[in-house]
Amino acid sequence: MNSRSNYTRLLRHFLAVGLLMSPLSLQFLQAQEKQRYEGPLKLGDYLGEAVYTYLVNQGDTILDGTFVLERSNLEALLENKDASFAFTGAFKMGYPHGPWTFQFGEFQSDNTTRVVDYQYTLNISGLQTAAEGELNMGKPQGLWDISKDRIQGSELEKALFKSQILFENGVPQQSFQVSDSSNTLVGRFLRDGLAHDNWELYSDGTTEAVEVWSFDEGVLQHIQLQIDNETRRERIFDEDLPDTKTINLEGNYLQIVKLWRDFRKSSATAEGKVADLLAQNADFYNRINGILSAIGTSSFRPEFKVKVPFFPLDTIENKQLDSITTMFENSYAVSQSLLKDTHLNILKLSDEETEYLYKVVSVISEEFLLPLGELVRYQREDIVEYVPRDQLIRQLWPTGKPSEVITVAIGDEGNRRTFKAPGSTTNQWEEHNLNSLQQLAEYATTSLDTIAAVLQAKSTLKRREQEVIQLEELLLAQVNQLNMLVDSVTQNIPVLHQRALQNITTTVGNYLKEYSAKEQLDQKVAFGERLKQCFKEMDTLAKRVTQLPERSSEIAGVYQDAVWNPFTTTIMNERVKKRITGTYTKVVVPYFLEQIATALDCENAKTYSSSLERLHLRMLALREEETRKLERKLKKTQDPIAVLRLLNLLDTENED
Amino acid sequence: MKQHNYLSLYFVILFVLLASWGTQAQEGEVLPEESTFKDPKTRIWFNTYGLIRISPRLFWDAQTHFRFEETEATPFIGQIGQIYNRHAIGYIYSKNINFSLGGVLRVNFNTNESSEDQNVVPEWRIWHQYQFAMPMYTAMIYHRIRIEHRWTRGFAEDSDFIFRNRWRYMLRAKVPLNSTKLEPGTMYVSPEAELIMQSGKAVVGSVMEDLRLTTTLGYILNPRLQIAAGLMYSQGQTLQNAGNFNQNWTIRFHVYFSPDIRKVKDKLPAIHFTD
Repeated sequence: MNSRSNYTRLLRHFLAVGLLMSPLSLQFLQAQEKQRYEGPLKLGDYLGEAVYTYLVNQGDTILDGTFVLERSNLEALLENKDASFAFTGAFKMGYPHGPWTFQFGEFQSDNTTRVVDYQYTLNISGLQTAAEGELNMGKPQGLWDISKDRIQGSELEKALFKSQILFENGVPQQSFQVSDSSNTLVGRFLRDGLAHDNWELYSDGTTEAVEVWSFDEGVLQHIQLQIDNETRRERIFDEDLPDTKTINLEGNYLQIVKLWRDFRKSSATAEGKVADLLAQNADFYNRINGILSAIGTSSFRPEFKVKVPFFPLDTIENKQLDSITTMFENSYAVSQSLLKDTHLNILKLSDEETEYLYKVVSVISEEFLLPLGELVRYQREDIVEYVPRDQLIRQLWPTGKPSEVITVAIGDEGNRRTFKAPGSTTNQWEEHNLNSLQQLAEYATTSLDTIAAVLQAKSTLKRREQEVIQLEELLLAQVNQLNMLVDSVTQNIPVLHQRALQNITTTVGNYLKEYSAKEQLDQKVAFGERLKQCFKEMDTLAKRVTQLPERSSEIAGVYQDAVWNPFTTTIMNERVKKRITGTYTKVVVPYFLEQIATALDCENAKTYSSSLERLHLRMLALREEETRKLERKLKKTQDPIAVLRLLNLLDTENED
Repeated sequence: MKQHNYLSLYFVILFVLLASWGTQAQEGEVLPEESTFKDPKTRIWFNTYGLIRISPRLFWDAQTHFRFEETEATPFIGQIGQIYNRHAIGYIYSKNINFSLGGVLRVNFNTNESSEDQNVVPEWRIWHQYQFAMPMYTAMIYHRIRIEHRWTRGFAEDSDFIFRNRWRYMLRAKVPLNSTKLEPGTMYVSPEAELIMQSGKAVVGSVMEDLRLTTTLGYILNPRLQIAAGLMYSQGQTLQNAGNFNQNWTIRFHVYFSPDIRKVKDKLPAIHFTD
């Protein structure tokens, strides 16, 4: 007996310790072994079914081993179209490493199936994009092949894009080839990835290059174009560059080249095919980089290196640019809010002052802010430092910078009026540097702030006036409705009721007079808002009063008992609880009508109408209730207040 | 349907009676050459009618009538003629049809001023009644069949009870005068005609006991109280000789009351009998 209970206790002890230990032991094992995950996973825009292995190290999940993320939906394919994708590769300690393939498909099906080798097959048509190559700790290594093909009936119909680049630890090597459906670009790099020699673009059916970009150790020397069987050669950058900087051949580089060509007023088509192909290629690399960055550490970019002229910004210039950016953003917001203000847009049709200021804002917006906005964009896209400042600024205002005196034509006759911001000195922005642009931005800001102060006040006033107009229309409509109601019933309603109704219209009329006597806009609005509510209640009250005769007969009908009379063998209606109905018709209703006819105002209108409503409901309820005691009490008093108290209709009633 | 059956029955009985009357030989009294009509007697009646609701279907019919008649010196109200106590239990078949069964004790006073006989004798009856009402425009029309089994005796000391049956049919209308229907506050006029036939061994020839033609003006105070007053002319064969006719002019006053002694909750709804 004793030994057995000892044994049980020991067992419990072991169990308890074991349970406490188990999570620790699992974690311990996890640190040692790869875990496998199978299930849904979202990478950027791509949500699919994933299978991968990982390690857990100090609570962090580190991808290690094979990785698959894919999605395809047969139902969607059969119904309409399916966007499928499949990413296959491997990770090493969190870095994408080893062979990788990326596939993106947008397919439709013709819905005809065949059985081939014990499998159902289905033809698909659409677009397939695929990228294939090897990664070395997140960087492309070896040949990367990217293609975009049009598929028709499960067969390749047309290659839309193809890019083949050889990498060495993320740096492009030797030669590359990028082509779309009709053009092929071939070029080469130095070992450090710098563009070198001629990059040639061939078009279908031509044996000679139609566009050639000539690089010398990364510096673009010239572009040669075939236009109308004529070879044109353009120099891009100046020959003697003060300084150069190595950057990636990406979107901003193409923009820099375009700007330089603009400076030279290049007659050739601005958008060469080379730039387009390079941009497309960069897009594909960006897309894959986005996926890989979402899950691991990688730098999947083409890293084509080029050298560009460098005009570094000094500290002052940087500050000036920041200041211009800030001022532009504020001014742009102010100008847009003014130009889109509906009240101002209406007001400017009738008010010349508004029209004048509105037009000045338009001019500032177009002649000052639009070019400044371009500059801000160049700054954001990291272009400003790679083009000569003065040229850039000249190019922003091709017809010269605006004058500080802004002239606009207003009115039907087109009278000219000029604007000049107060306190400004004469033109300070003739020079083509950031300092003068800062002055210009300051002037725009000051001008807009000055104008905004005036226009916003006008807009507010206009809005107020419109509010008042709307309010007055509403009030008049309310009064008309009330008068129509009263006029329509006065003929066939008892005198007592008529008096009450007349006083409702008189009271409303008096309030309206009081309203029109007010002169200040604010007072009008405040008082009008009160009247709006008040007139609504007056209308309700008038309706209740007109309902009274009908409701009285409803009550008279309810306070009847049907009795079968054996002598006549007919059913006779008998009035019951006559004390209550009598009090209702002789005391309560006349009391309310008298009150409404003599002591009505905005404050008590609601009370009267709700009292009438409650009275009706109370009368209907009393028909069913046991009322002998109440009837006895009613017999003793005819005082309206006492009666209302007895009927539980006084708000402040305190019956014992 | 029921109404039709009862009417048929009534006419069959009437036919049989008339047939037997025609074939029977006349005995005793000799019929005059032509009918003689006595001078009209003047009378005044004070009648109370109570219909007391005792259940959804049943009511107690309680009537007390005081009937006066002329003396040599005083017309109409000279002396008491009869005191009537008529009771029955009524059954409400539907809103427009009801039946009653009960008894009557009538106290008959000897109104023959020169008689030496007893002053008061009782008269017993068993009676049953079938009433059918029908609305017509704003008025109501009523058919009433009342059958009485009647035991009467004369005022003479040694007089025996004789047994007779009475067969009564009354057609009556109530026409509201100041309203579109019979309701409280309504004044109505009520013309009525009642034929009272009788049969029995004692009835030899005098089968038409009474033919009453009345017009009444009534007022409904409330569903439980009405008052009415009217004038009636009546005539009928005397029991002694079928060739002689009595005639009467009677002023009638009526009070109708119909209290409901049921509890309030049983009354609602007041007009539904079958719920």
